[in-house]
Amino acid sequence: MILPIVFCIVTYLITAAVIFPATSSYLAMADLFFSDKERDVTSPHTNIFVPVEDSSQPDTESSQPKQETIKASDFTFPSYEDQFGELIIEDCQIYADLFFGDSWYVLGNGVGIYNGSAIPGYGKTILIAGHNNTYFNGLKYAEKGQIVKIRTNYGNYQYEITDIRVTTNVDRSAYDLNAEEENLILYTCYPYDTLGLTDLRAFVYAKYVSGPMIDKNS
Amino acid sequence: MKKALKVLSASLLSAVVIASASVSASAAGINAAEQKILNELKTTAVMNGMEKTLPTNYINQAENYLNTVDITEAEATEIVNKIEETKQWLTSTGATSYEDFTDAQENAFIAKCQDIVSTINLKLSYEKSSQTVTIVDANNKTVFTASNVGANGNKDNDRKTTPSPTPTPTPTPTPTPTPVIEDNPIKVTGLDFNIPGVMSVAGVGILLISAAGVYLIGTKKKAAVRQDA
Repeated sequence: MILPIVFCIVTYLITAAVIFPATSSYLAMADLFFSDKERDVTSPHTNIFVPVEDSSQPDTESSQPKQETIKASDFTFPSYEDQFGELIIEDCQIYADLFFGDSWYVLGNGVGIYNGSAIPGYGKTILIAGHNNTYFNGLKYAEKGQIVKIRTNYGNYQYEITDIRVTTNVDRSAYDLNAEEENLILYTCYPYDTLGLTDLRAFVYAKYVSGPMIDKNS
Repeated sequence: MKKALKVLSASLLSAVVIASASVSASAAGINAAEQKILNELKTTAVMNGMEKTLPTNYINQAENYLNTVDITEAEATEIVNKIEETKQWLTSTGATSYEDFTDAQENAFIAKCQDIVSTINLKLSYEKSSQTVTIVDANNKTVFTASNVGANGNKDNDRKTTPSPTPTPTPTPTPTPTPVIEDNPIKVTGLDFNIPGVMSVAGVGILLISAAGVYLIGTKKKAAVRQDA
């Protein structure tokens, strides 16, 4: 008598466990449409991003962007997991919030600068990670010459893509954190549309074009 | 008397406001004391005759944190002295790298690092299973994080500090000092959700349900035959 009930429960449990990953996103969407709960807009991270006016207008004489300097004491330096800007690559349809740090939380909410690299304008390597299925999926459209825009709470920057390379996640030649010149590296899991875990990473390299440089000792 | 008290309290309040404003205004950037710490972090330690450095990504993390706070000269001096003591201790261990530490040495090294960061009210913890070092501030906010510490150490490039007894006729390039400990800055940027994995689990689940169903029907049939008999 008890056997059919146990069998029924086990069947339901297994079925629920199997279909949950596929249905969870639809359930969340349904919840969004039909729930009468107040929308929770609070987030555990600090958002210090207030867009600043674009000051890197081309110089009238040289038609080159003016090289500006900003004092480190004139703005709030981001702390770990702070949202302090946004990253835009129009050609790749990438529009992502930019965080300092690259924890799981950060990568679930945008793209993140590795805190062992540097922030834009610091004159060093900026290493930015993003998930391949979400914010950095558009990197599959990246090509040399495209412009990467980074807007922060202290200045607006532009970088030009110079190279794209696929290599393993342990290949230390893919980045140079010792570099003493401003350069940008974006990376994500490869292949771009894979849903599983992979050892491969696609690295997109870009050179500095414009934006205020930070005077560290002021 | 009341007026005097009001003036005194107003003066005290404005002094506090000015002091706090000046602290927050000078918090960003690297001051001379903080530069002293960074310079010390960039020096080498000698382990079993090999020169060792801290990885650049660790120093960058320290620099990024120091950009958010103000360290005094006294604090910097204390930190530098403690780092120097730790470097001497590293030399005395006889180990070549972090990976060669005994459990006791590893615990002692972590305790020394904890003591160094506690100078400026930071707390260091070490998760042995994932080899993850985390430093948090008084508000429990992450200041430094490194995982798989010691997992990628490269002993081949260690630079000997003692000269070779028989110099080779052709000069060879001197390798740079290697990090005393290392981790991988490249993160997992794919999702944990794995379609082939889910399909396999689904397949096994359906197989189990079918097998149980066949067994159940078989058992019932046998029971019915027994009842008929």
